[in-house]
Amino acid sequence: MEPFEVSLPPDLSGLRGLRHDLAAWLERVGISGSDRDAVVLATHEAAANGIEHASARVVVRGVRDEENLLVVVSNSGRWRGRPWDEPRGGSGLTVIRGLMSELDINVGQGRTTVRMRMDVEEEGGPKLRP
Amino acid sequence: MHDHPPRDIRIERPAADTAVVVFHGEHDIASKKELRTLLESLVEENALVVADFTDATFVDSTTIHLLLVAHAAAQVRGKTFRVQLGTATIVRTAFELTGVLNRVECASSREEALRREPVARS
Repeated sequence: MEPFEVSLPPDLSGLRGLRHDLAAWLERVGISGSDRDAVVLATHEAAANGIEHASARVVVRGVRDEENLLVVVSNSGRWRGRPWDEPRGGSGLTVIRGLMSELDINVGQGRTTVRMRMDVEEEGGPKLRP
Repeated sequence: MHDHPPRDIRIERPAADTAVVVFHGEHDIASKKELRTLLESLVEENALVVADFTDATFVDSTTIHLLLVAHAAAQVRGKTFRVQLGTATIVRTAFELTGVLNRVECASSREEALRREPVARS
């Protein structure tokens, strides 16, 4: 299945377009309904954090195979403050953790990478989360 | 009064000291400044402010954080700030995940949102 890749300028106004493009791609790879909405919200939170704290482009990549949907949000460039030092009390991270099956954040060498995974069904239909 | 209200927001005034902020469509960090200014002035000018997300299709953690700020400002001034939510959508999920429903009064209808007595937290 075709991967998803978008490179966003460090501008918050680009997030709306990211959400719409990602939702369309998720539909094309068989993820719809509440799972699609969850992935869009989680990706938005990660990308918003990257844009807010970094002074460089944010790259969002998505791939799906038989069992997994993986979204990776990364940015290079200097960070203002700690990457996830959110004035909103870390609620963006809390939201991502509540929506996705797995979350991994890697910070190093001027690049922050947020990897988010969701379990999906082989047939392409959304799998209900507990 | 409000020079640049965020897009997809409508203000209703069902009573002299009451404002209902009706959120349609998508609301995110991009309109943070405008929304903060709007909520600040509405809390200042009214005894009861309701933020109605029944018809919203997307809301992020930054928008929800601004509601908590408005709620805190209302409490300090002895005023009431409530959220009105519709049925299960990603919007409701976002509210649930941020834990805001434990801290802010949440109504499920306009009638409930406009009551003078406190609304139970869900």
